[in-house]
Amino acid sequence: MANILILGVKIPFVHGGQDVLVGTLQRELKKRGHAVDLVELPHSVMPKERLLSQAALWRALELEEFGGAKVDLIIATKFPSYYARHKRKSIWLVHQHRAIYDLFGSRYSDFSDDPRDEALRRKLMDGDRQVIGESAFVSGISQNVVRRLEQYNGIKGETLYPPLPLAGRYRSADFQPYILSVSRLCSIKRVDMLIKAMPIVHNFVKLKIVGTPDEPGIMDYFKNEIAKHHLWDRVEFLGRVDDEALLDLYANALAVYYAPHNEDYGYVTLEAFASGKALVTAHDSGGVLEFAKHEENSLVLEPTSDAIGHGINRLAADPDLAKRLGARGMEFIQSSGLGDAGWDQVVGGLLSPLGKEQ
Amino acid sequence: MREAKQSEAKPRVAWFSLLPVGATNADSLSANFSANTLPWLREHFEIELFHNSFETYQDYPTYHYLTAIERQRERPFDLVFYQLEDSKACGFIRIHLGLMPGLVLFYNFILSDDGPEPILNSAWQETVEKFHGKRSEWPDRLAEHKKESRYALREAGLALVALFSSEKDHADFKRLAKKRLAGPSEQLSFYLPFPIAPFPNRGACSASRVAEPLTLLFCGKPRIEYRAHKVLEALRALGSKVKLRWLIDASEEAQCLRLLNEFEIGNVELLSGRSPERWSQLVEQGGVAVHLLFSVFGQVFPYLQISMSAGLPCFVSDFGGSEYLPENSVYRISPGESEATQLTLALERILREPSLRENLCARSFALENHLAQNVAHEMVLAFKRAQPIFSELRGRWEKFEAAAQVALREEALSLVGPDAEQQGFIAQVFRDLKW
Repeated sequence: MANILILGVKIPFVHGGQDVLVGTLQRELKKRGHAVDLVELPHSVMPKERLLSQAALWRALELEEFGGAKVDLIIATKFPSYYARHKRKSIWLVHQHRAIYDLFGSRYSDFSDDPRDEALRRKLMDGDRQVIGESAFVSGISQNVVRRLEQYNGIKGETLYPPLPLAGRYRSADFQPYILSVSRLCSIKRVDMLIKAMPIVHNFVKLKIVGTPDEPGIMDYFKNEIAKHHLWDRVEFLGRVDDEALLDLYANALAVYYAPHNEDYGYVTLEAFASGKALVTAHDSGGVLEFAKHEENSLVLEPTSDAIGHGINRLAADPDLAKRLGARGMEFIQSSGLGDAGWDQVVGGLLSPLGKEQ
Repeated sequence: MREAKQSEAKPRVAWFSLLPVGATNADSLSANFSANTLPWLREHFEIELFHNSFETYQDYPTYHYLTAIERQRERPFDLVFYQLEDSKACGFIRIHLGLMPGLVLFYNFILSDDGPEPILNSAWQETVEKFHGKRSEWPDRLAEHKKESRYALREAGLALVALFSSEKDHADFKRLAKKRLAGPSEQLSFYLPFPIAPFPNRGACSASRVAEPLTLLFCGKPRIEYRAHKVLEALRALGSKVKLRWLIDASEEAQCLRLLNEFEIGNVELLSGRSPERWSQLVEQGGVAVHLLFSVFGQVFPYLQISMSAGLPCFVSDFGGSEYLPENSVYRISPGESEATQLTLALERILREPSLRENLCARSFALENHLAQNVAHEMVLAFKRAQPIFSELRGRWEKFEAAAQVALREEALSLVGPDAEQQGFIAQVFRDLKW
C-alpha cells in the first residue's frame, strides 16, 4: 500500500465540484488501503499577477518525505497544484487557468492587450507545458479537459470521469413544480440566464438555487433581475445544503438546469440523471454534452433565456416528456459505470506510476 | 564552371484570418480573400494560417491563433499578416494584432462595435508612447481609457504596416492615425484592391439577351442602409417589366418577405446563401446589379466588383467610397427622396436601350484592378517592400516584450511582500521555471 498526497486548490469560503472531487478521491483511496492525505493551498485569481507566485509556491514545496514516511505518489488536480514537484506525479486535471486558453478573449477572461498580460499568459502556458509534461501519468476529468490540454499544450492525456459522489443514494420521486439549479454562483455558470427565463415560464413553476456566490457583485445582479421581474415569490436561494437535503431536492424536482459556458465536466449532469430527472442545458455547455443528448435524456437548447424558458415550459406542460427524459438519464447512469464501480478505473490510472521505475 | 545557385528559402508568413472552413464563414471577406490569393502567394511565401479554431484548411499548416507564439519561437516568421473586417468573428484578430504586431489589411476603417473584452479598456496609446520611449511608466492598470471614435485607431496604431481595401479608408487613415508603433520614417501604407476570381468572357450584347426580361440582381441586406426599401419602391413602379433576384442570408427570409409584401413585388426570386461564390453564379446569368449602401459602416465589395467584372450595369450610392470608381463604370444614385425615382428612370432607360445592358468599361476596370492574380502580385510586392520595416520594428517590439516580462516579474515579486528573503525565495523558483 502506498503513501499518497492529493494536491487540492482551495478557494476559501467557496465549496464546489473541486472540493467534492478531492474529498471522494481521498475516501476511495483510503478504502483501498492506502495512506492518503490532502495538501491544499489557498488560491486567488486576483490580481492575476499573483498567479505566478502561487504557482511558484506549489513548485517550492518539498513533498518527498514527512516524518520518515516517504511519499510514494502525488496526485495533482487543478491549476496551480500541478506545479508541485515529485519523482512520481499523477495529474487528474480538473482544469488549467482557462482565462489564458479557451476563455481568452471572452468576457470570462481578465487578460487585456497590455504587454505585461501577454507576458503573463506566455509564462503560464510555458510553465504548464513544462510541469504537466514532466508528470508520469496525465489524465483529465472529461474529454473536454483532455482535448483542451492537447490542443493548447500539445500534451495527450486519458479521460477518467469522476464517478458520482453519492453513488447508491440518489433517488427519484414525484415532481414538485420547481426547477433545481446546483452550482457555484458566478457568471460562467449562467444561472442569470435561468433567472431571466422565469418571466416567460409558467407561473406555477418555481426556481430553487443551491450554491454560494464566489464572484463580487453577483448576488446584487441576481437580486436586481428578480426585483425587475417581480420574481420574489418564485426564486429561492438555498445557499449550501447538506447531502440529504440535496438528494431530496434532486428527487423532487421537475427538472434540473445546468447550462454553464463550456463546462469542464459537471457532476450536476450525472446527479440529475441518477435522480431520474431531465436536464435543461445549452449546446455550448462543453463537458455536460458528453452525457446530455437532446430529446434523449435532456433538452439541449440555444444559450438564451428565451430558449431556456420555452424548454422549461415544454417540460412543465408535458410531465410525461420530463419523466421519459429522466428515465433515460437513469438508464444511462446504470449502464455507464459512473457509479461506485467507476472508481476502479480512476484509481488504477492515477496509481499507475507506482509500478514503474523512476 | 559556374557554381549552382542555391535556391533561397521562401519568406515565412504568419497569416491571421477567418478561413473558409465550414458554412459559418461563407460571407466573410477575409475568408474569401484568403481563398482567392493563397494559391498564388504560396509560390512566393511559406505560409502558416492562424484562426480561432482547431480546424485545418486544405493542405496549409493551420493552427489556433493562441499557439502562434510557439510557432514563432520554433521558426521565426519574416512577416505577420492580419485581415480585419467589421465582424465580431474578427475579435481574435483585434486582440492578437496588439500582442504580435504585424501588417494589417483593413476592410473597414470604421468598426461598428468596441471589440472583445480584452480591448474594451485598452491602454494602447500609452503602450505606443512607452514603445517610443516617450513614457517611462507602464500603463496604469486601473485607469479608464475611453474610445474616441468609431475609427479603428487602436488597430491602425498597432499595425506595423497598414493596407486598405478602400481608397477612402486609406485616405482617412492617413489623415487620422497619428499615434503609431511605426515611427514617422517607418510609416508605410497601401491600397490593395479586393481580389475576385475571373469570369469567362461574355462578349457583346446578343439578340437573345435583348429579348430577355430585365433581371435586377440585389444582394443587400433587408436593412435601411442597404436601401432595400428604395429598390423595391423603384421596382413597384416598373411592374412586371423587371424581375428581381435577391440573394439573402437564410436568417433574413422573414424580413425580406415582409418587405416584398409591403411593396407588392410579385416577380421575385429569393435565393438563400449569400456568398461571393453564389453571387458569381447569379451574375453569370446576366442582369443589372444594384449595390446601394448609405452608411459609414459596411462595404459593397466584393459583390460590386464581381458584378462589374461580369460587365453588368451596376448601381451604387453616390456616397462614401464610390467617388473612387471611374465615372463611366457605374450608375450613381444620390441617397434621399428621389432615390427610387432615379433608379426607376435608369432602369427604364436600360429597358429601352439594350446596348446599355453590358458595361465593358466596368468589366475592364474590374479585371485590371481586382483580378485575384493581379492582386496577389500586388501583395507580393507590398510584402517585399514591407519586410525590412517589419523586421526592424519586430526587433524593437521583441525588446519591448522582454521589458514587459521584467516588469511583470517585478510586479509579481512585489505582491509576495516587502521581505527580501521571501522575494528571493520566490525569485529562485521563477528562475527554475525559466520565468
